[in-house]
Amino acid sequence: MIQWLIITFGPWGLLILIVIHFSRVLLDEDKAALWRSKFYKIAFKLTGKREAEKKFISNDVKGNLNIARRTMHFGQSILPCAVDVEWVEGSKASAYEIKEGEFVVRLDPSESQEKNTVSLATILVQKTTLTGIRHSVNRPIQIAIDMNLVRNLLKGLQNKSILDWFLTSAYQPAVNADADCKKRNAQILDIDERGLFSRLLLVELDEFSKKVYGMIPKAVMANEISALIDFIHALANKRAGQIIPLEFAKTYLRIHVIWVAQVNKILCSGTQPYVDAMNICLQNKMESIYALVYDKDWLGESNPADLKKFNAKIIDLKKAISTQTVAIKDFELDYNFVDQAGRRGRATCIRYKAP
Amino acid sequence: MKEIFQAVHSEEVELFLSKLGLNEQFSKGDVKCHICGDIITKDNFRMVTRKNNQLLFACKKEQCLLPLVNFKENK
Repeated sequence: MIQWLIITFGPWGLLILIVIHFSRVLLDEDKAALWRSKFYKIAFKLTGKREAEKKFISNDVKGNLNIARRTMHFGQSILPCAVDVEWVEGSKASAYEIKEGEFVVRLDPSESQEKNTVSLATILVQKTTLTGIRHSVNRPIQIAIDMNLVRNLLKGLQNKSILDWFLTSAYQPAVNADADCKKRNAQILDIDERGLFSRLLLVELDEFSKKVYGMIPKAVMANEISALIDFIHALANKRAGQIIPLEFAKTYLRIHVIWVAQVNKILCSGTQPYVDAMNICLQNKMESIYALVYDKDWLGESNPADLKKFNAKIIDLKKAISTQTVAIKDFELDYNFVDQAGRRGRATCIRYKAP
Repeated sequence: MKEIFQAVHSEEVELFLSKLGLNEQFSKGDVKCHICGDIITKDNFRMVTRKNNQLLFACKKEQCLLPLVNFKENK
């Protein structure tokens, strides 16, 4: 396409490409903010004016954070809120009234932009996650979830100095504050490495918040969230052939996980045992049923025929679940993970809901 | 939906506090961090919010910033 435009229209083709590129940037609010930040950075360097510096700081922070948050999966959606920064302006004489719930944050000069980005990322995550259930989440779990969400958000910026600053000045002191914090953080790290943090844990915490909305906090709620983390952590650390509970049926949440990882099992027994398992889950009033399907690409080298059969069976299984059960598919996400031995792999997480 | 944060440049903290009408309390050292109780100065001011009609300040320590964001839920 690019070659064709340049060959056909010569320099005009190049101009068309530049116009297309800038139109796409302008239509994307966050990319446009990043471009504006570059412009104001130059303006600040040339003029030294604080107004230009402030515009650089706010555009750079919001453009970077909003683009990074798009890469974070939170079930079907991403983190609930984008961020915007407005400067408190006005003359010396004018008074400023802080509204109920409004936050006014100090931002440092542009040389400390890493610090500004980390500050706003931390506050954003704190304000927009675990909404409505913070009172039911034990402090070490809150810290572990918040800190790892901020870490993931900052990782998306692909700026090593920002991530380093956050890890040394905020993450390490918070997650190592005491033995409980260390334990919960280690669990969340394991869950995150296996790809189940934003695709399973946060989705179910979101579900939990809907269930307890408006209720008075009770000890049973905090206990259920702690138990949920222990349950998902056991799933994350499951070794091949190890038998662990695949069901979590408590007061507020009823979750079941269908593990599709053994090639022999699905090739010999077909899709029916998995479909039966789904129907039993629905009969047992499970509300969220996850099918975790682990890729078998490694099989391609030794036994390509079996790999082909395995992939065909997975397609059959998805069809069979949609036709032979009443489960409603909520989302399907492909993802990369790191296993206990540090090997990289790919998997698919499919969430079904009871009708 | 967007989460909008109001921001103050670090060089304009004093001006901002005077806009809040807190000049006197600020100079007397009466404005304190709601979490650790340290006196808020123009160098250590980090954040302010209004909860239950009360102005709550946080100093620059990381451990003070986080509890203030969810102060309502944690109190």
